[in-house]
Amino acid sequence: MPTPHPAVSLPISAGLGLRAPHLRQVRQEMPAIAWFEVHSENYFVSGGPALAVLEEIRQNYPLSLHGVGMSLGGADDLDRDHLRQLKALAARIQPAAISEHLCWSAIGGRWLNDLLPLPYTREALDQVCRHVEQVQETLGRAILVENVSSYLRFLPEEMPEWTFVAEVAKRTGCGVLLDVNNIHVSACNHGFSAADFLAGIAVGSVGEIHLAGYEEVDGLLVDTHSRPVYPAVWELYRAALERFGPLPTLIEWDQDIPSLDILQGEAATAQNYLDTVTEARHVRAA
Amino acid sequence: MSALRELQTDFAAAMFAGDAAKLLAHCAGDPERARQGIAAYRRSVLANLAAAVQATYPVSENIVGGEFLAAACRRYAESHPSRSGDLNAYGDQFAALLADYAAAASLPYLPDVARLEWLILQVHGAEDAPAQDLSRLATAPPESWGELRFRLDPAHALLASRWPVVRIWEVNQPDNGGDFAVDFRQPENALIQRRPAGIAVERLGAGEQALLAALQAANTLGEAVEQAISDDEDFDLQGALQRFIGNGLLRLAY
Repeated sequence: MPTPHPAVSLPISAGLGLRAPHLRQVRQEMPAIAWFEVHSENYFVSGGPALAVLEEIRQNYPLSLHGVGMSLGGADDLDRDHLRQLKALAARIQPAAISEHLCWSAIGGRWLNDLLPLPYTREALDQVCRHVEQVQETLGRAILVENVSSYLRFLPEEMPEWTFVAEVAKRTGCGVLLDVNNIHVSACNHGFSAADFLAGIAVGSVGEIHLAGYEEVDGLLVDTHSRPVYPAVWELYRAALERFGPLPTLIEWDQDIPSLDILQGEAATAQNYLDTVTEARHVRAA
Repeated sequence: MSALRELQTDFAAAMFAGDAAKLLAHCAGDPERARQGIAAYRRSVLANLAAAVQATYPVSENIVGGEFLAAACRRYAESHPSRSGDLNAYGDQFAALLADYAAAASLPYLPDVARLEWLILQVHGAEDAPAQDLSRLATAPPESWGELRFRLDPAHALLASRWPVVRIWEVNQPDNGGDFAVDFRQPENALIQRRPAGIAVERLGAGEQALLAALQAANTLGEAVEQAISDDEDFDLQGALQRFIGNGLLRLAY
């Protein structure tokens, strides 16, 4: 059975993105949730209660640090201060995984603070690989890189997105954080086949899966993380698990955040898919 | 310029200058569809930046209302570049924007309220204080106290205002008991300090303010007291030391 990429030591179970509205409840009730993921930048502080709370949660749950601001695909050099802060946070928290996005967020020293799409060119691939190597060298460990959703495609397109993602993993030794919702959103927006995307990613290179909900605006799917996971995305998730084996899976919800039990319900659904795939593999192995 | 840099530069221009023509030339597929995609990114980029600023200024929002503050934040997002991949670092110049903002001219104290809120955010994430050690103060003979210097709790900030910023902050707290009276003629100095129970915002006398500012700048206690007395001839050194030792602000005497 394929195993998750070695950059990850998360349990092969469904976890949740931990957001501010649920912090108090999680600390008080310590709900049975397999693991949590937080946005790294929210803890780029020198001290104080936010960091203390994260350290407390780390005592009780496996934790993944998920960055939204490294700008791996930026034409600018990486921001050394940003990298230094991530390194300090990782040293303090000792997370079970560290991930970043395959996107860019800044140009000419001005930050757009968003997950912006790359042109799938050899030039962009070289730049991303240089930056992933720099991050991994600084942190002293392999990271995961996540495919983003996109609303634009650029010319020239020298390779499909999945080849770009697979090449980054192959060249740098990093793992893939496969965001299944993002594959669906981009496939619908750009008219490619989500199955082709999955087939283009090497078995064994994936370390984690993300699931979330999107919104549709005038026929464009927008990755809002504001809804339950859609049925088509659950189906794609099943196909991903069948190809890559069971993987740590995260439910993300960042806007119109519902109560924790609704998120736990989403995680339970993901856990069912995980259990089904695991059982089917055991049956086949027997 | 590399092709990647050119694309990203044109992308940024489409977001901040609303000039999508150059970016469109890079886009594959149906131009109408690409325009829609660019508009979606523009909404997302500006909304994220504005929301990050807005989240830092809840008291200002309480004073002017959500819609007013959202409009000011949107203007900030369009005009003030973000310089960090960490959105929590964005919004430091918001007080200056409010000071020049014609729509806020009738609220001249608003920029100082915003300054206070920015400092609160900084104090919130500042370094943790070392254990308090004032043994030098306890063991040194009082006539040599003037030579001592102090290290202060890193999780504090000072704000001197022409306006009653502390009072304004107090009446805008959720637990305010219902007394909303503010004497707008009263200037106030604020001490912002992170304590185990949360962020404290307290009034400082002119002498206390001068004393702390001087100690913070690594002046000796003797020099700091001179500053304090020149700003406040009734300055009470013993009361001030008691207060700042008691609230943990003075961490180390050396």
